[in-house]
Amino acid sequence: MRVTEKNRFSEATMQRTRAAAQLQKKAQVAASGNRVNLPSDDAYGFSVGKAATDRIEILTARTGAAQNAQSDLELGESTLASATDLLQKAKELAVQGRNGTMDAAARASLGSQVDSIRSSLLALANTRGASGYLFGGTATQTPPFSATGAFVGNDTAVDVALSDNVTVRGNGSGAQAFTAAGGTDIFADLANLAAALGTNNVAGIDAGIAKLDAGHAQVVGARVTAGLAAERLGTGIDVMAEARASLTARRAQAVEADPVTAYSDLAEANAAYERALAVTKQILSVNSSGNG
Amino acid sequence: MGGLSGMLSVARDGIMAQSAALDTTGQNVANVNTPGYAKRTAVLASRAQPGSAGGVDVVTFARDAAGLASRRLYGEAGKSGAADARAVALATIESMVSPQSGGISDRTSAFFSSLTALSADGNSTAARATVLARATDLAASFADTAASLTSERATQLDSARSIVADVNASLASIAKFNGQIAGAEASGTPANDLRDARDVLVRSVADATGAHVVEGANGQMTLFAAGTALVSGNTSRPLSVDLDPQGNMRVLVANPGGAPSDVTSHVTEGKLGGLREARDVDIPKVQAGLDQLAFDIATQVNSVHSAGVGQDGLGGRNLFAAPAGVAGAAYSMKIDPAVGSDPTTLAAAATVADLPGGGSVALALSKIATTQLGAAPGNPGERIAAWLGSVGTMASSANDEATLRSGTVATAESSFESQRGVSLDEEMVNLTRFQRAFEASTRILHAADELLGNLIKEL
Repeated sequence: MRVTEKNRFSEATMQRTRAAAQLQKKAQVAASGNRVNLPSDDAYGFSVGKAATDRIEILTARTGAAQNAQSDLELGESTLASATDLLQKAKELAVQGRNGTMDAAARASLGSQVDSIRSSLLALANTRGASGYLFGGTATQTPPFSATGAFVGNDTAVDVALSDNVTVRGNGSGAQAFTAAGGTDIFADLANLAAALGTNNVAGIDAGIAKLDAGHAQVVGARVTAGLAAERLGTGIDVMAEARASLTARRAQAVEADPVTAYSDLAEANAAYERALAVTKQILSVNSSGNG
Repeated sequence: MGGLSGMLSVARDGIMAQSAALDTTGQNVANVNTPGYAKRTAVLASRAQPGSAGGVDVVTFARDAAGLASRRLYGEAGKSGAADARAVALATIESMVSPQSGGISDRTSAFFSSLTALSADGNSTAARATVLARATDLAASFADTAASLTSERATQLDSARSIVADVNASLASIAKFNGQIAGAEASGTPANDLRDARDVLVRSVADATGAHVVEGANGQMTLFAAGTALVSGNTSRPLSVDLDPQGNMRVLVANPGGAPSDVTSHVTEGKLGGLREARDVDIPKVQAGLDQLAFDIATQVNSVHSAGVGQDGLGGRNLFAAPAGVAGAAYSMKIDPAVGSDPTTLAAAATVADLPGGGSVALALSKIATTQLGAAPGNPGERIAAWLGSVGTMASSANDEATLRSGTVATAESSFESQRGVSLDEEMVNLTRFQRAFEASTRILHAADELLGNLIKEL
């Protein structure tokens, strides 16, 4: 084939352009750390990476919601633990008041202490967490229990998603812990007990002790439920962390570049570019000497 | 005529012929970088002289048209032009739909993630404001992308008009050159320079629309492109571009004395063909996918959102303005006016009784991220990834095609140039060859002169 000057220069220019384009591509991979920066780099890899990124985003959001709920549930559990202590103390006062040697004045004093315990329990039942009142259901902005002990909240669950199909109740149930919905109305029971002690009503005291036992079991049950939910959330958070790690690895495999390969490819592309420049220089030199 | 007179005549012919050949070599060297220049060759032939040694004549100054190679080059240039224009357009489109960050995919994820946070605390003002901001971002992302695609189509239409203007100018010039070449060659004058200039124009038309040429015996070239003859003799038929009722590009060719013909379906080569395919085939596909995504997301989110109640106790509100249909859903995507910029109108709770902290509707909305979206398989993230993947595949295929075509056009160009280009090495050899022949002819002249001188002295 006859070779003209334009043939030589066109070939050299084309090789240099290709080498420069390849060098730019390899430099982009090495600098970004990603093998796939655009869908056209590898449509399948891009889709896999995008799906993994989306999933990680979902899991991160669920983890955040679960951690907030877990925090409130743990606070609720410890609040209910305090509530059981108060009920235990109330029962001790009731048993003390049941003693036949005690006179009416001493029982009235015990009744005042029970009333004080009721007030403390009411304060506990109106405890606020990060998302509002812990035991008001979804009525999170108003105290769920009035001064009289009447429940003005609701028992609506705030579900927290741990996976696509699994949700866990993320709020404690004040209704189940303290009201007749759970078996007995604890605030009414304490009010009745205080009244029985105040009126020297032994039969009423006996009935109050029985109610306190039921109430204690009720609060313990609610505490266990809250504790289990917090534990399930904790387990779910751990599972989601593992899933995130796995997805991060999958995303890395799909879109990220192996650093050693990336730098090796960059060095190779750089060498190819330098060779192309050397060839161009050689062509210029041949033409220069040929013309001289 | 023989004898010394004949010898002088032969020497004169030799000097003139070699001088002409040297001129031709000089012309070739001078034009080594001139676009379209085809090397010239001084064609020498011996001139018979009855009864004596013959002289030499320059019969013609040949120009190698490289006819076969040029036709192949024009054909490949048309295909390469189309592939290159489409690849550039699709690379632009890909960068529009898949920015490094803040694209539709990222904003969809962020929107659903914000709903997850709201579901756990329906009364949180911050969570509500975040959801509304993310929803606004998502709608804006769809609308902006749709607007960018529409704008890109307008840009491509402008580019097509610009290409057609250049092509029309070239066609008119080719027709003019046809007339000049035929006239010059009919009178026996070589029209090599005119042919060089015409070839440059044909090449530019080939790049723009593809071109197939046939040269007649009188040197006039008929140029076919867009499925019809655009130049015939010394007349050309200009192209024009407008839009059909569907908004697609329509390419028309003028008919003398008649209505222009629609040749759109034949415009498959050259930059114009590549632009047309990108504008009226590729971008509409991307837009259709975008509209379907916007429609499905808006519809599915609205169906869940409207079942819940805002903090004002009112329900039945859409979060996104209900799309009128799939077509245009992305461009018109926005927050429903009933929600506006008031985060308290977001429906996180299912019923009034669940207010203010209820988040079951927000949870259901967040779960859209992991459930099938619309009729097509895949959740929103998967659907968006598949859509982006299809754009990427188109861009990648177009780029591969452009790379392939640039290789074939380079090969064709190399073959074309090999046949008709100037080789300085060759010209240097020719220079020496013709110089030696010139010197030898001069020696013959000197010899004849000496002989004549001696003869005159003797007389």
